[in-house]
Amino acid sequence: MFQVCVASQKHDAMGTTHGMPCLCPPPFWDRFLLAEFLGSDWVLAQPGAVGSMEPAFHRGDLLFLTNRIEDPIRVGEIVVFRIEGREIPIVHRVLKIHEKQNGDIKFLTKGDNNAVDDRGLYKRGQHWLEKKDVVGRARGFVPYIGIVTILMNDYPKFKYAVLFLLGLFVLVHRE
Amino acid sequence: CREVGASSEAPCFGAARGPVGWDPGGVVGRNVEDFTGPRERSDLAFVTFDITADLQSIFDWNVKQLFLYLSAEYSTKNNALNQVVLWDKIILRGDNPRLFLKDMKSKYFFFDDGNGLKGNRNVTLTLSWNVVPNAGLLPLVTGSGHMSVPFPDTYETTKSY
Repeated sequence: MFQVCVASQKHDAMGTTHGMPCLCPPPFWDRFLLAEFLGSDWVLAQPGAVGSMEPAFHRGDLLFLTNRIEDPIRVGEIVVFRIEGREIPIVHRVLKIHEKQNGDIKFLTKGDNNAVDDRGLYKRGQHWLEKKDVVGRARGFVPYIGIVTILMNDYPKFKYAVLFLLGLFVLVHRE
Repeated sequence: CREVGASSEAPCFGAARGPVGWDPGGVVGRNVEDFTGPRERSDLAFVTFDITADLQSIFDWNVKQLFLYLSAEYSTKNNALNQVVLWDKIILRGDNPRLFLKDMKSKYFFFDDGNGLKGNRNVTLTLSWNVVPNAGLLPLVTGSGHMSVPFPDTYETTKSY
């Protein structure tokens, strides 16, 4: 399990961050908290930031991903991918694929709510994504669940309140 | 595949212009530098199409939205499988589920990875959709009734489109 940046970073129009300091990159990427769940096949991921996949997914929704290497990549699928040199995964839809006889594939992605494809997000000189860039495929989701984590990150007082209540609960139960 | 109003049938995908002999203006190919990305000269296609679909029967209590997309699938010398989304649309629960779109131009540039569109007789257009539920699985469904669009053997060099 690994945490990829604070899943709740707020950004103003200038792209600066407020709230907690963070090494997070530009605001329009979806950020994730990835966790191992139900074995190696399924993971949970929580979109953090601005809605490039709205109105399907919003901040606080929880996504179920699979990462079976033998699943072919086809247009229309929602993939979670990482750009080389960047930690933060992005979840967008496949727009275009070119696959060779031997299975080598190069593909292009785009967020549903974005006006243009993702070439502007890829590394300089990179025009396509490859299988190795894929972290998982979105197969299902549950809305709103992640909002508690986001609230806890955005509002430290809320986090302390939750921790305080949890502590109380533990104490009360011990008796 | 029935017309609008017959909701007991599966949604149908209607004619794309350009089948052999009909409308030569329906499919046009050029060969230009791919300005959307890699700068090699590649085939660029312009396809116009109609879409008729009745998606009412897909919207059950758990469907929040449909992500509808029209994609072209074909094989070339360079690549065994190519898929290019030409057009997409988000249909929310509550929006009109019956589509009657005519003379549509593609939303995205139809660039090949190479020069495999010229004279290609096996380009298939398919209408598919991703069902986005309120909660649950995210299936991809392909509609019945795909359409083959044969490409002309020569490039279009005039300015008109």
